[in-house]
Amino acid sequence: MTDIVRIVEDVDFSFKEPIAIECLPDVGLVGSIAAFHIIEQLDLKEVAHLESDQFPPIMVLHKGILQDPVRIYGKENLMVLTSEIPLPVNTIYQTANVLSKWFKEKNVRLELSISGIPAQDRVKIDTPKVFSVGNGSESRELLKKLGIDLMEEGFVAGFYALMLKELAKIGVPAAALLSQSFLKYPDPSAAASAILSFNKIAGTNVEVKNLLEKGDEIRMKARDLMNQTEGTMNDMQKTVEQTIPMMYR
Amino acid sequence: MGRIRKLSNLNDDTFDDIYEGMHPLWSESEKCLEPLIEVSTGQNEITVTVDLPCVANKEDISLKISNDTLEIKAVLHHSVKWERWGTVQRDILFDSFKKIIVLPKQVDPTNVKAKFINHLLIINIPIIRQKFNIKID
Repeated sequence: MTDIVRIVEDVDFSFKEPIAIECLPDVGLVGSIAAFHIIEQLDLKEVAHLESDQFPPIMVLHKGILQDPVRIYGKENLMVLTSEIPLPVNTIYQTANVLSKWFKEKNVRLELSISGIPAQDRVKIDTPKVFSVGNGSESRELLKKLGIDLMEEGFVAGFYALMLKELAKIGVPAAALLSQSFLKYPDPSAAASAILSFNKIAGTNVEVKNLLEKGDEIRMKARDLMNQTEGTMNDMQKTVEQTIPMMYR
Repeated sequence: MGRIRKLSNLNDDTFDDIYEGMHPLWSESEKCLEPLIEVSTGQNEITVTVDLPCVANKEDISLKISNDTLEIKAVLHHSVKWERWGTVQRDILFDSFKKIIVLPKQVDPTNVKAKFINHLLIINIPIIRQKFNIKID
């Protein structure tokens, strides 16, 4: 079968056992906001982009330069997947599959998905907590060692759930960092909490003061992407994350 | 079709959908932005939340309600202009949010409660429930 999703490498770049972070648009745009901030703070360059005949026919302009909306940025020991459009649901299985294999090929030592988990009383929470899900004993041990709260029971849904599964199948440790967030409003403060957990894992020092100060501005600019993402969140059964699994004991 | 889209009903045609899922959240003629909203319907009330970044105080917000619509206007604490964005948009100085929501049920407009916390407007609107006795034969 021909892959409907392709990863096109824009530059000849050699990674050295990087950590890969996946930050596609999802709950509260936590991943998207975190990705843009990390890319800016660490001055990461575009190294690859994703193409598919099944993606909408959309390109994006930045400073007059035409770019694909789904891009991978990186440096030697870090890569960041982000997108300026929500991925169509019919492409996510293959995107997860192709991306996982590419991560394996690039010797990714750990994959982290950054996303949000809806909190009903989010408006009353000053500093969102971050919960995590590991895809195997290695990532779970790491999360435990670093004191990042592990989710023990429940459903996870969406692109990151597929990434956890696909990477487990090919033996790549992966984890999801899920920050308490608004469901349908861009949430820079949730992204800041997720970045602080990312710092612990990756040993980076991405500061979040600036992100928090620019919170209002980010919320203004992220409205359109949030609006578009709402539809795909419904398709991905995100509400199941709020339900209790029957086999819980 | 998303719920927000279904409920969008601004007077200006500029807010009409261009295509599925991507209607513009701004109006050139009114120089206003459309806020993100969430509407949930409970047994006794409808809760509308509205995300209002860059709105400083509750005094900057005006709310008007009828039996089936809610109109929200809010003035930004400073006007915004995105000078590199798009074509006509780059010249617009946006100074407010505006949204008219068609409510999913008939409501009692005289008993509405609203609060504004951390740039989030939360409006609780009681639903009108008329009850009739049913005779059992």
